[in-house]
Formats: sequence, structure tokens, C-alpha cells
Amino acid sequence: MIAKILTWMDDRLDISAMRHLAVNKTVPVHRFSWAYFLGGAVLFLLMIQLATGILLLLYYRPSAEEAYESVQFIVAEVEFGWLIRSMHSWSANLLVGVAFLHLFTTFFMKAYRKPRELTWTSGVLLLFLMLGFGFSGYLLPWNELAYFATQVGTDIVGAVPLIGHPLMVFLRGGEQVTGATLTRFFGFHVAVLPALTTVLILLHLGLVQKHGISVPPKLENKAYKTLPFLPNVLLRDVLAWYVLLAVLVTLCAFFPWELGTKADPFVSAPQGIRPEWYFLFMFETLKIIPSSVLGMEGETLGVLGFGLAALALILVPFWDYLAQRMGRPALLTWLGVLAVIYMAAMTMVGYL
Amino acid sequence: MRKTIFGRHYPVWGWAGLAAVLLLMFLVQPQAYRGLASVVHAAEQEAAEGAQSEAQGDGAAEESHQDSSCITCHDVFKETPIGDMVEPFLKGVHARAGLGCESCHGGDPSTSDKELSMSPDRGYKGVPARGDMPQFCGSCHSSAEYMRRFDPSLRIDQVAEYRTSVHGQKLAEGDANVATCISCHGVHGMLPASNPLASVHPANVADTCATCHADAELMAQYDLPADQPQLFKASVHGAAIYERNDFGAATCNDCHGNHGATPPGVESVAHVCGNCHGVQGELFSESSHEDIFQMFEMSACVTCHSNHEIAKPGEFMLAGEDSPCLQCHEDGDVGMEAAHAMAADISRLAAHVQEARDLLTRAEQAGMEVSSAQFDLHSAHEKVILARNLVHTIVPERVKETVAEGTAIAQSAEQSGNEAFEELRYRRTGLFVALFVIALAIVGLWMWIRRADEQLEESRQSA
Repeated sequence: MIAKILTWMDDRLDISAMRHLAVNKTVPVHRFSWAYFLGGAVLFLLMIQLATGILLLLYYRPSAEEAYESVQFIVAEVEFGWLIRSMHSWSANLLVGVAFLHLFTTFFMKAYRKPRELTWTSGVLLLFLMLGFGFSGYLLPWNELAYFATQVGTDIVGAVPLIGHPLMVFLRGGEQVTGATLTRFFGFHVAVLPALTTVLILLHLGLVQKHGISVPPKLENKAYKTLPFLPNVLLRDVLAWYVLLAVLVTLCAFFPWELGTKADPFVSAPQGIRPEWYFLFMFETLKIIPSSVLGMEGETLGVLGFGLAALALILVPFWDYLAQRMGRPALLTWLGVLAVIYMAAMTMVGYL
Repeated sequence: MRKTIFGRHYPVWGWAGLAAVLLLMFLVQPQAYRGLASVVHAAEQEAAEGAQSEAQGDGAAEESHQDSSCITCHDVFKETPIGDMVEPFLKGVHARAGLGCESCHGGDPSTSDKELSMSPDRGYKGVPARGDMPQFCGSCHSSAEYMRRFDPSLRIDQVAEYRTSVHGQKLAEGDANVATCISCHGVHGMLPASNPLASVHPANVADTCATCHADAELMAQYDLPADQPQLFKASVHGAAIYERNDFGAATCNDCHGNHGATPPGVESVAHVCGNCHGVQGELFSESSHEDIFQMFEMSACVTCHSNHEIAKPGEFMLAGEDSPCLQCHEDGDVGMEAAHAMAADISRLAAHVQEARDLLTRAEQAGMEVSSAQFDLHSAHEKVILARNLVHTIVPERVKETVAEGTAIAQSAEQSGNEAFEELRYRRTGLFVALFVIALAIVGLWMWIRRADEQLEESRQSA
């Protein structure tokens, strides 16, 4: 019976081609093979985000009057609402953390080299989308910290030359952060960003399947062991997901995500407002740039710097090509090491 | 031949172009971007600037007095007693209202001839005698027509009030030691009471009064204690002003009056205190104490709470060893029994509310959502306050009734707290069950992986 259904499906969907791909897919085995699990971990956390996000949508109300109360209701009254909300918040943070790790390991293993440039580019764009999810989702509970962090965050957007102010007004739905901003961020968070993410994820995963798993340059021309994806690697993937799930539920049970106090636009900003940890290195950088550098606003300079850095990150395969042509292939790696040290140091400064 | 994006020429020109565009953007960018620092520190800066302009004055007074010969000459001796008044005067309320030296002292500031400018022919009055101070200031401050030019809401009865004060009466008797206008307001640099630098600002009133009233030698002449300012500063009112910057709290002039400064008499104390403590005053007047206190000419509030050294009241006043009730009652009599009963009820409720609050705080810290119970608990705390006020009725039943209402609220909050901890235990248990299931799955997967790896090894070897 099952065979019959499979044949029926195969006639129409050409499953055997996919099965063929899956059966023949192998994964290299070496010292850094653990890095191959990171992409799968991001995917798993993304699925958790999707599932918990849909559940939160059942009760969440995107307006300044009701948002905080609806989240309070989810946490206090809805059966297992506390767990779903905490999982969504914790998983979001783990996701960004694992996605950064995925980026760094891909970068240092030079997995973006030909023919995987577009896999890299789509991956970096996906990371930016994840940050967008983080920024827009942070405001949705409409609590005090999120309100002021969003005010500062959108203020920074306002420092972009030329289009900054219109962009800030577009994001806020006016000159100030209000209920209009909340509704707008909700729209980005549950419609615009998921749609873009779906397209890019399909492209990213498709490219990964098309080009297969890369190996670090040192192993490229040597014989190395491989493991078949089915079932050996997939089982390991699932095991890693279970470990992640255990970490996630433990975090939720012992450190439920705080709701804080409801945002009040008429009170002054509380002490110690800061963005989420993954934006902290940028926030700290903007704080230490002098207010005016060579006649230019320090903040504008910082925002431009980060814009260029983001562009540079997207174009990493190109810089690698340049470095190789210059006969300095290690240059980019060292730049990457410096960038990681800088990000880590500035994040720590933010917590001191 | 143009190469691809990874080719040789495209990137150079492309990037040069991009750099040029960015450079152009810098040059034409709008100037007024709001800085990050300005968002965070805007309020602080605003406050600092406000305080600075308040302290410095607007400089207008100095400019408008530049052609006054009084200012010009006396300013030459600014380090000496005949010149040191210029600077305070220019910063004071009179100069800022456009008045000059001649407004009080007479004379002619338009001439630089010393004899002429200070000649009686030109209306020069000189320095008034201490005893003449009230009339001197009153010549303007008692005139409604004159004062409304500057501020129609200003009172003009200060001199009349002053004459009714102990200070005014002694002055009329020829005592030159007592306070006159300038003793409290300063001589030349008078500032409005709303200015924190003013000697009559609520934060400074006690110190201003203390210049005389803490002088033991001077006070001995009037048979007055010199520790009143010190006692006041240590009191619940002093703490409000000096520790919490609550300038609405009572200071010397709020009970004694400012210009008509007099100790409030036995009959008036209840009214004076009642200006702020209205509920307590009303409850006291309903009580049977009211008539008895009057009969024995005991001051309504002061008898129990004292006057300058008023401490934060509490149940210790009813049941403590130093209970003021013991001034009239004896341990074991009906009155003391009632006092002990009221103290016990209120203490029990206060402790209950505190316990419930601690429980909810612990639940909150453990990550439970208990804000609704915490909100409800506020009304239990209000019941504690109400019960403490009801002590003034000296009817233990009324206190008991309110305590019972508060206890019911505290119990309900406590129940919410206990339920939160029960839920927390349920969650932890659920977590361990989930972790156990996950661990089983991991072990199963691990075994499966080993078997799959072994099968792979075998198939590779056979191949």
C-alpha cells in the first residue's frame, strides 16, 4: 500500500530524484566536522520559532493598548503559554547565536569559495533577516525596555545619510515610537520577514544540496573520510537537535523570559536601556565614536561604517578572490579574526 | 572585453564609483541628525541648563543698572562692606524687577556727584534703623496698587501679620534683637521663595530660623530652648525635606506662620496639623478624647506626637514601653487594653501584608507572573494605613473591622503566591520528565548511530 502511494507520488513529483540525491549525499569527516551541524541547528531552531510563533499568534494582539496585556495573559493564564512564550524568546536568542557561529565557521573554513558564493550571500542575507526578526520581535510585548531600545534603535536608523529620516519615519509610522510602530513591526515580524526568509531558505538549502558539503582548503586535495548523510549524519543531526531541545526547555523552566513593566511613552527612559546582546557591539561602537569626526556626525559615520561592513560581509567571496590574486590568502582570515575579537570585546564592554 | 563580477576591471571602477557616491552623500547630508548621546542625555542637559540659568540670572538686571551711579561707585569697593552688596543686589528679585538702589534708599543715581546723589534734597533716606524695617519694606509691600504691577497675586499683608507675631510685638516694645524682614529675607539679595538658593526656600527655612533660634545665648534671654531646629531636622518632617527632597513637607513656617510667626496655641494645634493631616484630625474630633483633652487643656496632636521632634508614628506608640498613652493611662486599665488590642491587630495585618509581599516577590523572582496579585496587595497595604489612622477614634472595633478586610486581601494574595510556587514545582517536575524522555531518545539515537556506523564499516570492508 505504502509502496503504491510512493509510486503514485513518484510519478507526479519525481521523488526518486530527491531520494537519489539524499542517498548519495555524503558528509566529510575531519577535525571540524562539528561545524556541519550548525546549519541544521539553525534550521531546527527556526522551526521552533515558526511553531511557537504561530501558537503565540492565537492570543497576541498587536496594539499599544492590548499588546502587553495579551502577553501577560499568555504567560499567566494560557495553559503552557509561559512555556511557548519563553521558548520563542530563548530560541530566538539561541538561533542568532548559532547562526553567528555558523557564519564564523563557514568563514574560517572558507566554505564560500567557488562555486558556493551565492550560498554564502544568501546565508548572510538570512542572518540579517534573523536580526530583523530579533529587532522587530523585541518590541512586540510593548514593555518599557523594548520601547526605549526601539526608540534608540530607530534613532540610529535616522542617522543614515539622505534616506535616514524618511526610513525612520517609515519604520516608526510617524516621528515617534507609538502604537503605529508596534502594528508595523508586527507586520514585518509575521508577514514580510517570514516571506523573505522562506524564499532565501529554499535558495540556501537548494544550493547546499546542489554543491554538496565543502571541506576546508587544507583537505581539498587530500583523501578524507566521508559519512553517508542517510542515516549516519542525519541521526547525528537529530541527536544534536535533541540536545538543543533539552537546553532550551531547561532554560525556559529555570529562567522564564521576563515581561518587565508596560511601556509608558510619557515617562523618562529608565537606567541601563540597551539593545539585545547581538546588537550590543554596534551600540557600544556608536557610543565611543566622538560626536563629530572631520565635520561629520559621529553617529552617521558609525552607521555608514556598519553599512559598509555589512556590504563587505556579503562580498566576502569577492575579497577572498582579491586576496588570493594578491598572493595574500591569509589576509582575509586575519581580518575575520580581528572582527570576531572586536565584536566579542565590544559586547563585553556593553555588559561591564 | 569586460570581465565578470570577479574580473579585473569591474571591481575597481565599481568601488571607486561607490566611494564617490558615499563621499557625495557625506557632503550633502542634512546636518541636524539626532545623536545617540542626545537621545540618552537630552533630559539631563535640559535640567542642567535650567538650573544654570536660574542660578546665573539672565544678565538683564546687570545691564539695566549700568548707568546707575550708585552701582558704579559702590562696585569699586566690592571687597568691602560698602561695596559687597552690589553683586547680591543685581542677582536679587528687586533688581530683576527693574528696581534700583534709589527705590529703597532714595537719592539720585543719575548724577555721579557723590554729595548730590546722596543729598536729602534728592530724597536720600540712607540706611533705615532696624526698628523701622517693617515700615521701610512695607512702604511698597503693603501697597496693593504698587505690588500688583509686579505680581497681582502677591500678598500685601506681611507687615500687618508681622505686627501680630512675637517678633513684631517685641520689636514694638523696643527689642532690637528680634527678627525683622531682613533677618529672614536677607538685606540686598532677596530671592523668591521658589528659588532653591533663597533663604526662605523650604529647604533653607529651618537654617534661616536657626540663625537665631539655635543661638543658645540669645534664646536664653527669652527663656526658649535652642535645640528646636536640630530636633526638627531629625523629625519625620525634617527627613521628608532633607532626605527625600519633599518640599511639600512641613517646615517651621508651615506651623508657626511666616510673617506672623507665633507658637500655635493649645486650641489651634489640631487645626494647624489638620491642614495637612485632615483625616487624622477629623477622626480625633469624633473621638471621646476630644472633649477630655480640651477639659485638661491638653494640646490635641502634640500631647502624643510632640511638636518639633515628631517621630514616624507606629504601633510602638500604642503598646511600647514609652507609649504616650501612659501619660494619662495606666497599664491594665481599659484605655491601655484598647491601645494594646489596636496595636496587636494592626501589627498582625502589617506583618501579614509583608509576608504576602515577600512571597509574591520570591515567586516573581522565580519567573512567575504574579503582577495581578501584587496589584491587589496594594489595597491590603492601604487597609494598614487606614487602620493606623482609625487609632485616632480610639475605638478598637473600628480598627478590627478594617484589619479583617485587609487580612482577607492579604490571604488571597498569599494564596496566589502559593499557587505560583505550586505551578513552579509542577513545571520543574514536568521539565525533569521531559529531560528524561529526551535523554532516552538521545541514548536510543546514540545506539542507532553506533549500529549504523558499524554496518557502514562492515559494508565498506566487504566492498
